[in-house]
Amino acid sequence: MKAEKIILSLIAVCTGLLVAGIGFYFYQSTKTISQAPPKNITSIKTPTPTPNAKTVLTIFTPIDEEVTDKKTVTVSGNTAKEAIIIISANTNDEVVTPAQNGNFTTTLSIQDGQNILEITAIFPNGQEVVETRTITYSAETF
Amino acid sequence: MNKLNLIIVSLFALVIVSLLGYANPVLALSPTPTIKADTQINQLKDRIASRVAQLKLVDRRGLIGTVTEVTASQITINDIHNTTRFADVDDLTKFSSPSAKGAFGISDISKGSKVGILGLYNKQSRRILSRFVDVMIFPQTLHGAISSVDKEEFVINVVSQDGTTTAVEVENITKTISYDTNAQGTRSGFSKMKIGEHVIVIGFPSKTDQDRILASRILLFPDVPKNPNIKVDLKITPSPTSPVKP
Repeated sequence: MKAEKIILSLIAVCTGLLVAGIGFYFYQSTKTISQAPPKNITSIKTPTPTPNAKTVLTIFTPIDEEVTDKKTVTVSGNTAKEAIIIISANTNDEVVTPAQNGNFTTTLSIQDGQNILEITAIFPNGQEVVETRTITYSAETF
Repeated sequence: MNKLNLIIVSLFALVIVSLLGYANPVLALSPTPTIKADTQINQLKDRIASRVAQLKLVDRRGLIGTVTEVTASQITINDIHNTTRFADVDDLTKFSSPSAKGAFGISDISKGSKVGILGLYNKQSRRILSRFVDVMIFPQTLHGAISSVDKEEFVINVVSQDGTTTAVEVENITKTISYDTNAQGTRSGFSKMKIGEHVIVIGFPSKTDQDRILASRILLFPDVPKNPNIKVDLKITPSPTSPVKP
């Protein structure tokens, strides 16, 4: 009688483990790695050292080789807030200083045909960064 | 015995039911339909992107460069970023030059001349189909520091970052403006130019001496030190005085 109980208990435990194992296997096999990036994980950006980080000039507009039917062009970009920005066209210049966030914007008149816009940032230590853009005024349709 | 069996069976039933209950929602939340939808969205995105790219394959562009080679159907230029560009020419292409007195065509364009090309740029072939080709004279810009001032000849020498020194002729028509650190400009003149001053000169090469620049605009920045990359020592040396006649 007692031996019967023990054997029955063992069989019961084994069956239970088997069922639990099958269930666990099923659960694992249905699991897939989500393709979408997890929302809760925030990526930690490590700052990469950039040479001459302060002497950077980025031009937002105009796009190089752009063709426009307007006689004035908006020049905008970003640089160090202490810099002086000189925008030279074929016949005229504009000198501006950037805002506290380094952004600058100004308008400049251009001539008919091709114009070379030379945008220079002069930094307080005397260093210069020059960016060049070609912009064409044309009212022709082709 | 019966009671014990009943308890054991009940426990099994409980375990099985709980396991099934746990496994079923997982099965119900199968991600397969989501992946399918994502794939379809991506395919649709790709199709739209390729269609947009096709539509935007050609756009109007204007280039400036120095002619390196001319043939009957093609002009090769070196653009302002020092990149070689190819411009195709056809019957619809119009040519012009400020110095041309009569008809002007592709055969009149010579190697080394500066041209502005306006046409249709093909992003795939990276060639421009020229519609207007104009021979132009563009101003030169000189960035540097004043290395010497010749008050008799009205000439300043400007040393650039690469170490080259260029003579700049200051003329009556030359517009000289001095800027402070707040970009406030005041009219200036030749007499106010000092050795070592940070300067930007915009002008055209002299017809008699190609190494000289005839300044049309001079921008002075007296509050800004000279570019530290200019290694030339700019010391003010006293100009030789003419001997005093008895």
